[in-house]
Amino acid sequence: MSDQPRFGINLEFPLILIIALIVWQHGGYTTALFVAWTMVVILLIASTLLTYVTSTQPHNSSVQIGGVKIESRISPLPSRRSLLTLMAGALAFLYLSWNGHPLVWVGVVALVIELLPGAPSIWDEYLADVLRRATVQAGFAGMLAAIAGAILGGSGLEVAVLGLSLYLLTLQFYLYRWQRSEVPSGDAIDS
Amino acid sequence: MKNHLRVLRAERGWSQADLAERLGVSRQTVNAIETGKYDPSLPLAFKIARVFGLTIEDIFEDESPTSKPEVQRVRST
Repeated sequence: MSDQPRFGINLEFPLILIIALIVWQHGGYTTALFVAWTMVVILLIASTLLTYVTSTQPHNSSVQIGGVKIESRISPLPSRRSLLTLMAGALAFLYLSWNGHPLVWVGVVALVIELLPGAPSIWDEYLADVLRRATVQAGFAGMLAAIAGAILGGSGLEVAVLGLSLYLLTLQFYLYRWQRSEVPSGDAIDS
Repeated sequence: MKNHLRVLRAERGWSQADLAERLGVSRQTVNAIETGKYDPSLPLAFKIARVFGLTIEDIFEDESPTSKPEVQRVRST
């Protein structure tokens, strides 16, 4: 596995410290805003990496979307670190959706789906092809969602969360379809 | 592109999962190739040919209607 490019950013300890300081100084709303914007930045980096990986290194890479870990190393669940980050983001989105940012609800849905365990599989050229096409559709869906959010008069956070959430949800949908892409007699020997 | 993957696999008594394991790809990939939803890359096509002990032409058929006349036309000129 040493030749497998993997992308990960470990920010949780500095972030936990910053979050604790913000809670102490400014209270829950500011903390939720900080966590939500951090989540937006993380999702932006993740989507950029995904686009980079699918366009330049389609084989032997590792990407995880929608609870589906796609790499040759079998792992049925997102890592503990990913789970904690996503849970913190989902909680912040949930809090903000009840406190003046109703459109952020979509982000809660996208992150909760992300938290669900997915069946492990392996990365290969067909999946790379599916993802390459999916990222184009997802980018388009995300852009439309962000425009709709802006037209509806959403805040900057709501527009960003809407765009990224629809991007994520579209990829999750494509990966779900890929996982289920079997004909009824697909595994039959004498079909 | 038409292929005989399903028939060849059945002749050997392999499931899609068996073939996927031999090729080092997912079962979804084998299924997509068999159903014509996806045309494999040249390296994967060679790998498939090696697994079955055949040539690529024995397994895959070019269905393009213009391919053969085009070749004939080029040769005749």
